[in-house]
Amino acid sequence: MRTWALIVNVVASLVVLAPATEAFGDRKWDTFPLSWYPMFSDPRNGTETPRYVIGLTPEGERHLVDYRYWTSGGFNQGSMQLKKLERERKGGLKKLCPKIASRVARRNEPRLAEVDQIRIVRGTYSPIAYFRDGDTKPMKERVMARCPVPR
Amino acid sequence: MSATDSPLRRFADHVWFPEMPVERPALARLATGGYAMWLLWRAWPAYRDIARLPADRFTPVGPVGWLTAPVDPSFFDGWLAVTALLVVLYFVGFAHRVVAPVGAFMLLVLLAYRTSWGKVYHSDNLFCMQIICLSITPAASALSVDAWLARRFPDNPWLAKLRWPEVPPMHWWYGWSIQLVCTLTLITYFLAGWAKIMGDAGVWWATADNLLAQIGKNAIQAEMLTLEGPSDTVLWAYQMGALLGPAAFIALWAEVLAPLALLDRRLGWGWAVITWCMHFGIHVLMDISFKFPLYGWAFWPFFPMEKLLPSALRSSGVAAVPPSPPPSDAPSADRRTAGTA
Repeated sequence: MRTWALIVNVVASLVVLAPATEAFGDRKWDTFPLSWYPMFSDPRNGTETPRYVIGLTPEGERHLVDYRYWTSGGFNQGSMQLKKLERERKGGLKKLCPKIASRVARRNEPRLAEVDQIRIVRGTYSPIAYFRDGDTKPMKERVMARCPVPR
Repeated sequence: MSATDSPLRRFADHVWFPEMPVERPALARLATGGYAMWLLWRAWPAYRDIARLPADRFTPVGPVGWLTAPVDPSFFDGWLAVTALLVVLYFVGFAHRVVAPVGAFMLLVLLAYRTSWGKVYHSDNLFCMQIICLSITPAASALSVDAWLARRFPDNPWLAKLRWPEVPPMHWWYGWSIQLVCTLTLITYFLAGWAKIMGDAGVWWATADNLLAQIGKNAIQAEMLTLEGPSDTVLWAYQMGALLGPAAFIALWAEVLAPLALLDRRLGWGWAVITWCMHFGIHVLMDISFKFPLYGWAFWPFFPMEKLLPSALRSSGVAAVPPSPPPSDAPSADRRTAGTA
């Protein structure tokens, strides 16, 4: 019995430990439940490029659109979905944009009542400028998809 | 020197097979089962919604990696309900030897399916592994329906097949169960540390600037998607960044050196406390809650929680049952009163 228990422990430990080899590879693979837990391990270079969604009024006023307009999961899932659609280059963001726009029109949130255009963008920010100096404007912003709000 | 006296054998006995009381894995089962029930209850609507996302967002991972398309949402609803039922049976400890492995497998596949929609989460890995460990080891020989049935119907052969055989309430089986959970927990944290030091930053990951940048990345992304402004703690961190240096150092080495905590119970206690503090810091500074460790559930197996039980509940399981012939290498019954950590 103890030999069997020893085998279980050794095999289970090796299986869970196996993803450690991924640290030598291209560092792209990750899965569940066996993971090499790459979160927070990527080096940062002073700027961040979050993907997000903004609504524009006819006067050019900007309003951020929260992740619940395109995902049922958490905000990380919302972020990953935008990145995935961008990476796939299959026009996924252009298909997603009208869906978000129609939800904005349907949900009629007062904050977004004047919004007539939706944009899915990738911004470039300096966290130090953003959080320490209070400069919340993006250094640059690339529009990846845009569409009107059907009102 | 015989094989049983070899240093390697003694080391394995010390690390993986120490004698522990029957209640220790039982409490770990209650902790993981309770957490699983809470998780499924809380996330039930979200899981159902996720299963209804457009098929083009489906990126299957792990045990569902072979799927080429999402399953029908109504099938998923049934799968969710059956898994929840099995989790309840795991929690109460009914037919543990048979039901628990099935329930753990169903939960594993369910969580993998839930993870297959764009973002590979790391919040359920540890919890899932702990449940698998406890499902294949004797974690329901006390504080369980199995233990009650063993007392009520000691001679029923059918019920006996559904539970683990009786052994003394202080036995290496229970230590094996707990130490397997602890081993995989510590390996999990080691991997997280390993990924950091094998990254471009290497051991210099543990600097205030790097930790601040990690906090900033998360805070900007969160702010753009949740519309909630930065927390006071993030703003404070950017003003007082140098203070994060020691925190980064402790966090990194608590992960990299985690396996050493298996060698001594006091090291295990210290490691668990430090690691819980790390999760608390992540929660405060980054608003990321790995709830299983943050609420302390993940660290129960490291502590002699059974000492908090009322005496009426201790050794309440198989102790009341006349032991059947023990396994060949089981210790004699007169060791059942020995103390442990």
